[in-house]
Amino acid sequence: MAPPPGDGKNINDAGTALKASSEKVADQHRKTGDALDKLIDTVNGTLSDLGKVSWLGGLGGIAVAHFYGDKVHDAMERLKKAVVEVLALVKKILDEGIPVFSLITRAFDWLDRVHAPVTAMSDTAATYTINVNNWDGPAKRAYDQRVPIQVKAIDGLAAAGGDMASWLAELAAANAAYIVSLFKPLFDIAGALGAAIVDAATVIGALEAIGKSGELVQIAVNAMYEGLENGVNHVTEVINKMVDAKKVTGELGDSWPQMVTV
Amino acid sequence: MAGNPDETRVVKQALLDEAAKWSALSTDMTAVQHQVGDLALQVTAFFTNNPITAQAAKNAYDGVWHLVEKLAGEAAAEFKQIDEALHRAHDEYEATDGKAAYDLSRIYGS
Repeated sequence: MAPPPGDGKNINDAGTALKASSEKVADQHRKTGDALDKLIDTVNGTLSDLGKVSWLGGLGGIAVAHFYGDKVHDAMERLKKAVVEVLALVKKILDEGIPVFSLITRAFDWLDRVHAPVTAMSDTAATYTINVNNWDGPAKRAYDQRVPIQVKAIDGLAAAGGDMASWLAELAAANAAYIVSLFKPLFDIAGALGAAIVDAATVIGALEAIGKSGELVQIAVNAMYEGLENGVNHVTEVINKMVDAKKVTGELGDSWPQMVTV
Repeated sequence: MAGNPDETRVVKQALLDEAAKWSALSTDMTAVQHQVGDLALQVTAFFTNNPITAQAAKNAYDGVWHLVEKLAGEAAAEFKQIDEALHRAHDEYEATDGKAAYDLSRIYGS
């Protein structure tokens, strides 16, 4: 007899994880973008103040202020470029992650359309209708020998439906883990930008604050790429289960066993 | 047992009932085959940030998907043939009044 139809809990869990990870990362993506905008505004304000200070300082002050202002401006441009690139990458991953939700739909389909109905067929096929056991002779004995072969093939087909559902759910869960790996680096980047906002409000602190923020952002970016690489490796492992091990097809023959050849 | 008119009648009815069971299974399996036909997935569903891996995943999926669809069709056809074989068994049983050891190939083929 085929294994009992799964309750789809693993599929539900994978769907929940996929939704939660996408929402969590999208939310943090927005917050990090906001932090960048706020820092840029603050630095612009500081540079504007620097212009006022420079006029008060005469010609020498203007030269110093321009030199200092250019350095702040360049540092902020570099930091902005790095963060914008990360935000674009995350956005791309989130957008490309949307079709992954169809794995969840399909996983339920394999459970509902194949595993459950074919599992039910197994019992029906294996159980003789009433009084068939009063039939005897060679035709009956041949029937007794051949029906279990059909039942076994039915069980294999039912199991394939269940395995396919599980594989798709596992793949969706691996994708959820991949997406959620973006969260911590994004959170850290927002934190680094947020910390810089306070110090960047003063003319004296701006350059150092931006430089320090840039270093922290780079650390987070490196961590993000490392996390993504691990995530891709995990997804690839799940895929290879199907590709290499023929996890599902291994249980099935190339054709249905023939009981009748007339 | 064989030769007893009541027993013969019971067995003949049982063979028809068993045949009807396989006919119904054939119908059910045909429904499964049709439902499986709708289970396509786009390559974008196998998003991995790596198009080659995604394509490999889709190919693996498609391989199983098409095999299951094919097997469901073959199963439905086979179940229908079992239904017909049981009808032939019924007819043989009726013709011989349940007494003869008839030729199996006439029921199941070679």
